[in-house]
Amino acid sequence: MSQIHLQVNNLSKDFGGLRAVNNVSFEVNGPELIGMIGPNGAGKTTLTNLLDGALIPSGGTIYLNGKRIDGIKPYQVARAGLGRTFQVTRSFRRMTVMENLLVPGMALHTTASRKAQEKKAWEVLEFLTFEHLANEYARSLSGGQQKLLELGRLLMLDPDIIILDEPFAGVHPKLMEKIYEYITTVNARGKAFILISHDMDTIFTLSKRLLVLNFGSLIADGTPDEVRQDPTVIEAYLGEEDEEYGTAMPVVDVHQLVEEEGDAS
Amino acid sequence: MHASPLLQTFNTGPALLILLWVIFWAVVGGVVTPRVYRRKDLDASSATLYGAVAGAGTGPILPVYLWVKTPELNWRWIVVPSALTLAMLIWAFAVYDPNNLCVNNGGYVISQISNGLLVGVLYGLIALGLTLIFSILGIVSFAHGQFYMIGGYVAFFVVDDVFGLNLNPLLGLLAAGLVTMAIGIVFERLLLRPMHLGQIERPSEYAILVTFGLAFFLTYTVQATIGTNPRKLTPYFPIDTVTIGPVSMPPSRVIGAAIGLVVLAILYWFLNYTWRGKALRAVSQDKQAAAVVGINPLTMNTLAFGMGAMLAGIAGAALVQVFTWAPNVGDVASARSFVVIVLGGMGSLIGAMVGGLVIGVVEALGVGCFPDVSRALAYQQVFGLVIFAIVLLLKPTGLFGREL
Amino acid sequence: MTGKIILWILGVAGLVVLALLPLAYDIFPFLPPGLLNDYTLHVLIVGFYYAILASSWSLLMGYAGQFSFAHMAFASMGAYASGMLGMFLGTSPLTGIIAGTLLAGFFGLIIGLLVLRLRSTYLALFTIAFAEIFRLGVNAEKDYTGGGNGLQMDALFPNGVDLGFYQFDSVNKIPPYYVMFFLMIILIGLMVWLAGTRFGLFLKSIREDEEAAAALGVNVVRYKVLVFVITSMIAGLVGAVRGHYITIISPNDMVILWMSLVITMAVLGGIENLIAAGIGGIVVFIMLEFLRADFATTTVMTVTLTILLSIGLYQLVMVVARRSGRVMKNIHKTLAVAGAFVVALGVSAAIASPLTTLISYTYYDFSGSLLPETIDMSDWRLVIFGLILMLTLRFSQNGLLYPIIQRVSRTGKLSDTVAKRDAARAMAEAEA
Repeated sequence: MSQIHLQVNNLSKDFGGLRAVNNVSFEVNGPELIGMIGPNGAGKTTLTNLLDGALIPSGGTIYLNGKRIDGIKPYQVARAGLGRTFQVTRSFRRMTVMENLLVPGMALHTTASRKAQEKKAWEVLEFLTFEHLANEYARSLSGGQQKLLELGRLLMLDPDIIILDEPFAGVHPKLMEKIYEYITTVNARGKAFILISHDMDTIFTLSKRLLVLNFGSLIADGTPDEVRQDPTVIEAYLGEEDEEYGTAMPVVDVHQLVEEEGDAS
Repeated sequence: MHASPLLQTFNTGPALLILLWVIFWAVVGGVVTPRVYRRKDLDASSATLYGAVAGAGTGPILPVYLWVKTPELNWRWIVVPSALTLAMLIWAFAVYDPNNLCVNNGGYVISQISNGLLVGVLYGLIALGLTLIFSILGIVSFAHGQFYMIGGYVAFFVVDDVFGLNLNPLLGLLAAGLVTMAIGIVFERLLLRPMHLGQIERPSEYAILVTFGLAFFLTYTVQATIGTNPRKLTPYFPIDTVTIGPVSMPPSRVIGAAIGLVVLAILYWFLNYTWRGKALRAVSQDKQAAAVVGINPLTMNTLAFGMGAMLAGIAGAALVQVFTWAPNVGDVASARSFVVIVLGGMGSLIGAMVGGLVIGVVEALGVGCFPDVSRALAYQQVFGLVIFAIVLLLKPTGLFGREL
Repeated sequence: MTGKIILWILGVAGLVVLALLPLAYDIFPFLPPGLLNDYTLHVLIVGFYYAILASSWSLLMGYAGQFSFAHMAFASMGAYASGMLGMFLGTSPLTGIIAGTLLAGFFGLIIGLLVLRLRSTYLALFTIAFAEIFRLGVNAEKDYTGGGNGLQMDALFPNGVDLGFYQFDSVNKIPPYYVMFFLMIILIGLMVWLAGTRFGLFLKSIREDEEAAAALGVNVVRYKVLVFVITSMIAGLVGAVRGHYITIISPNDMVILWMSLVITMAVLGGIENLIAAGIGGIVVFIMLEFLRADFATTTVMTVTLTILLSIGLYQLVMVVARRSGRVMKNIHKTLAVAGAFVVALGVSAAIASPLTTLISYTYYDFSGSLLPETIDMSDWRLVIFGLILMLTLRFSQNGLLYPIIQRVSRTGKLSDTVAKRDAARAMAEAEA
């Protein structure tokens, strides 16, 4: 397996007069677990759309494993090894869980037989403990299960780098634990993750490295501890005067949190 | 095949050259401009249309200016190029067919245009209902023309003496409006409301199919009950042909347009000076905000669909004394209303009126100027439909539309 | 025996019956005469034609979610291409049919590329515009297309068919019957096969969510265009074959009515299942032909009254049951339906005749005559189908046939499903 390497150089994106992403540069080396945070409108989703090919950058380049991926179509980016989820769950609602999983499997391997992909899909289902739902329509799943299904689809796509947009938003604590487990396990298998989340606690616990965006610019890039003490970051969040983010970057064990919330409900 | 028997000579070659010049620069403008705008990270959503029109109208001049300066694309950059494009096309046409009445008889042209405007008011009125429905319910009703057809029949039976009714035309208009509104309200309550209550799985497909089913149902119910015999009403009021200089307008059309203008005035009053009208406009602008201030969106849906049907019905009643009436007139009216609302911009009331007038004139000129008289009438609708297809492809939101 | 096997047996048996139908008198000499004639064969040939159209429209609409009103226009385009080639260049029907198929495919490609950005309503409007422009253009260009009078086309087999031991002349219905029959099997089979491959899978994902499909590596543009090309080619092919069978093609074959009927067939069968849509095509067409006849006014009255009364009675029973607080199980509901139907039928049969007489004296037909003895159903049948279309859409979005097929195919798997459902429920409870 080749070394995972994502290189983003001076990436920018303008919408009319608005600069949504401003000269962002960073690298991902190997199976890192990176969190991306920033206040609302900081450009996180735009950056994801740029990486994924849904948007064409106004400037800058993106290389994935030595291959230039800016300016190519989203499906080509996906095949090149970058997978993503969307902020709002976007499962294929009127298709079965199995079919949902087969789409990326078949799209990636243009010559693979359906049988082989189904076999792989069963492994994914097993991993998600979803076997009993294989022939259910995706629309009949709960919101959290649909999120898991999206993660399952990414496993079928088998990308090197996985970008998860708000994986914990609106998810039941029990499932949150499962998603958490998914991330750590898949990360341990050698996949790089970029997590975008408002859930500071989880992000700070889970990530080994944090990217902080504000007004489209990358204002910090470092370990959670470094970021926590970074004056620009503190200023950015203080400037927001938003209770949710507050001043303190909390240090809470996610498992403890999950248990507490689980008990509460 | 054999040559046209007409004793006309057509200068195909030179005309084709002009046409090719226009098309070439339209394509260049349409393809390059959005790329330039996108490269400079400017809003490129209108650049295809504006670039194409600029190229068609001015050849390389304006497109190059657009590429170099990339000004913000507003109406300034489309009005003059459109006029120039039109001029180029007229020039090509004049070269092609110098003996055409449209080329050498100004009075004829003015006469065609004014007749087109007269009918255009009513095209606008029909489409107004459709655009009202779209702005509130977010759907295009494929049964719109059928309401128009039914309105015409209701007026016919009220005003004509087949039933011995022989009533005042105003009662005919009223009855047409009430009947179509009633059908519209019943249909909305029974088959469209479930969609807004979330009981339907694929709402957008459902809306198309179910209104399409209604069209089918209404057309053949009318056909089965009153047959396909064409019917025509004499003009509602005994007035003379209106003649102003070279323009002569048949009484039926003048009456029809007058009715249309009166209905428009009433609609304007309703939308701007009554609570319900204001509520409708509020819903069309922002559903959630409207709901917050206590407007029930479901009631507004029913009201809008009923009113939309009623406007079509009244337009039918106004036109039943202009055109011959048969159960299939609804199909043509539907297609024409689509053309009008897409041209004017889906959901824009002013756009529907402007679109109606444009299509009225385009059809009148198209039919009046088509070189081969024997085929002109057969192409009447095509002129509008071609414009429609082009607008759909280049700028689906239409000339006055807003993003959905 | 699982439901799947039952369906297979039924399907194969149905096809065998249809395949042997023209030979019915040779196999069963004791069959009553008049059961099978040229008219029956004709109805089936055109029925097969609509089955293919309804099925291919379902592939476009049900699978790919691409709303098109231009399907009939593509069918006619195939026919016109073949007819005009035959007329002006004297080509054989086979060459013409191939050319027609390719031309329809080419236009499908262009339309597919043009409409990439358009969705649902806009797509429907654009395809209507395309279909109308084509129809009006054909109507206007009399010199080339014959205009409203239509274009004469060669018979499918201009010299008949010589099998050695038996000769069919060019107007015999049996060769076109088999042509259309095997076309139906091959084309619907091809589409079913395609729907089962990655092609069908990707089409469905595009229907559900284009962006998500693209993010998972699906080349959305390619598959969207491809489905337009394939369905247009199928429409063009069968359109051309039908044209040569009828030996005339006219713009009237493209009026919105026929498109409405194809949509009705597909919706009643079930747009998410190609075979169900195809069967819908045959059944609806046969019913349309059956209803074309004049019916005795009392019969029509009886049927109408029965339907209305049974719905009314059923609703009454349900309201009474709800008021009295009874829980209605499925078996009770079935009994209520049956009871309401029987009562309604009896009442209707009793009052239909006097009611007809009563109306005859009060209802004055517009032509001046009294209510006729018989009612011409040729328009009313379309009213009925319009009504059924709306009701099906409202109450059974997957069509009328597809749910039955689904239910039958599941019968054997019932225990399996129950186990699965229990497991899912346990999981959900554990979550909660």
